[in-house]
Amino acid sequence: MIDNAAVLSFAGSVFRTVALALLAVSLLAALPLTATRVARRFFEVVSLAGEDARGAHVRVLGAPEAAALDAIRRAIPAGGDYLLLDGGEEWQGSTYWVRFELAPRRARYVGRLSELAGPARRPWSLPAGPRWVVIAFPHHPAVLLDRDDFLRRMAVSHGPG
Amino acid sequence: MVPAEALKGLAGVALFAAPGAGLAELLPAVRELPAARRLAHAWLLGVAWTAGALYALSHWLAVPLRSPAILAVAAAPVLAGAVSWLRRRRPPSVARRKRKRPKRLVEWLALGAGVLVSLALLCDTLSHPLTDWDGRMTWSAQARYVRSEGTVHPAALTQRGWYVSHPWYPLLMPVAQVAVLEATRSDLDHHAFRPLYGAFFPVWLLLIYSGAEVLAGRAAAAWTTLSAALLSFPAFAAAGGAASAYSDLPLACFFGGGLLLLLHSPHARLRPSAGLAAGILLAAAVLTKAEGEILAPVALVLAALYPLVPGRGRERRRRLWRQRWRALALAALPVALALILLLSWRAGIPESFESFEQATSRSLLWPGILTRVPRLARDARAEMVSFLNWGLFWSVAPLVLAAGWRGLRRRPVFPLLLAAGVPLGVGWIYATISLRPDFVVMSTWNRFLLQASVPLLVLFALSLRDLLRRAGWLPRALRA
Repeated sequence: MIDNAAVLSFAGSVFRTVALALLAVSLLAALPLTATRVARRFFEVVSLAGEDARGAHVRVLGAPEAAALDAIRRAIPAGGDYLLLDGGEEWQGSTYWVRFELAPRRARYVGRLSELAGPARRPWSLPAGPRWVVIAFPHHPAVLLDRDDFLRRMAVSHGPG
Repeated sequence: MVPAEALKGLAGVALFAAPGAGLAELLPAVRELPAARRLAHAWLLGVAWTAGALYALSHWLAVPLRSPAILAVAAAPVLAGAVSWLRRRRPPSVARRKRKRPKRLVEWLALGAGVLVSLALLCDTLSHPLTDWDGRMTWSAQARYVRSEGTVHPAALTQRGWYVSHPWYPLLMPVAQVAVLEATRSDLDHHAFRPLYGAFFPVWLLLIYSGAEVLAGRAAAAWTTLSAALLSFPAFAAAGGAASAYSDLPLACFFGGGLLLLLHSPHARLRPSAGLAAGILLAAAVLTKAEGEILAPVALVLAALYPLVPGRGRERRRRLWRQRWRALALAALPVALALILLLSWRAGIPESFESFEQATSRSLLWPGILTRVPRLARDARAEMVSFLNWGLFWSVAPLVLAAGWRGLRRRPVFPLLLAAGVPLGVGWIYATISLRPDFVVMSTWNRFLLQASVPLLVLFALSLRDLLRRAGWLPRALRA
């Protein structure tokens, strides 16, 4: 005769043991990844000793990108504004990064460069206001153009508006 | 990293820790908490007070967000706390000193893991500039506009047409960033504010440990904290962890900390100072992220309904309610003020939630809330089983909860379950009405999990307690 209570109790005991064993496995499995991440940060802080905030900024952005942003910052005053064009795709986020680096300068978003170059957007025009146009690229330094210069270049590249 | 520059980051942490210590001293219910819990609440109170007061002063009184105002706001609770401490100073009694119990192996393991990961985070935040997505897209970009004009009403937000992501997102954390950068006179490109975010990780661990310890005991709390310390997402994820400048971990801490204060009073009656402290933390939740507008009132409602959880006689429930209502009113006051501040501030921001409205459609809610379940569940599961973010934790946690179900027959379980369910419910509804649900789940689900993490992990600890108690075969040092 099968004792249901005993069977259930045994099954419950096995279930609880398995749950605890799996928890132990999950802790052990997490150890190498966490250890690697922790060790990497300790190693980095040693290898980057002596680097100042400006150096870290250039290291992360890349020297050409940082130089381009510095040039834009010098051209547009901190309280100024500019028109921002996306030289990549939205999911690449390049306009976000350029906007962040140029803040507190205010940006007016114009659209994607590839869309602006299409026939539907002719004649070439830009929103009124800011004098400067900044084009953000995902893998290249941002470009600063005067709005008239930008319109002229559009006409040269894609035909008259 | 140059030592003098690293000091700026550490000074930024002290800017909130010092007023937090003062507030913890002033509020008896926090002052009398065990050291770990007191430390966590002190930090949260410090950020909530300093950044919250500066937000309010800038909005209502046009006080410039510059060093004099920042230092004055931070100094006020430090001075008041120092006076209070000097007035009541007593040598610790022998009995109190004796109460300190030696740590067990698992507690040492949890402490060691938490300290190592927190130190690694500190190294990361001191040596690298910000590189995450939302931090640069939203939170730190807003901080730069705010800092430049010294007000929470910068032209980029108050004038229509400027390219700003999520202009209606509350500014508590950007104001905290500004406070650090201004007080330390840091350059525009300096990342001195990053340790501020990194500090939320050990605070999150302390909240989990202390919340779990009260309900589930030291062993279960320590195992749970060890599990949490080894999770990659809350610590290192660039899309929401303490290594980023996202507001989700701060929100999780403010919400979880406030909730635990309201539910875990060691006294039969909820003390007014506990209510006030919880209210300050929940007010900070309101001002930290849009979801906080839902989470903070939910925490208050759960705390109000807690005495009504079945299992008590009518007379006892009445008595409990009479003992708690004053503290609950004190908790509701800062939350109401924060909601008024947020709505009043938003009244001057014309662009609202337009990006959110473009990405969602309310018409998808029905029958999408049913028909999208398999798809969303599959996508959410894919996020939760990501080994790089969560290890095996979310594969094992449901088993632990199921096997230790007897541990969940405790009174606080129901409000904790609801508290954990609300952020996840918000995330689920957001994905349901989204035009791109797979993208929404991929980019937000882990962060909603993080927002729910404090009550979730306390529930995990309760189940684990049951498992450990029944595992007679385990050495006593690991289970008792």
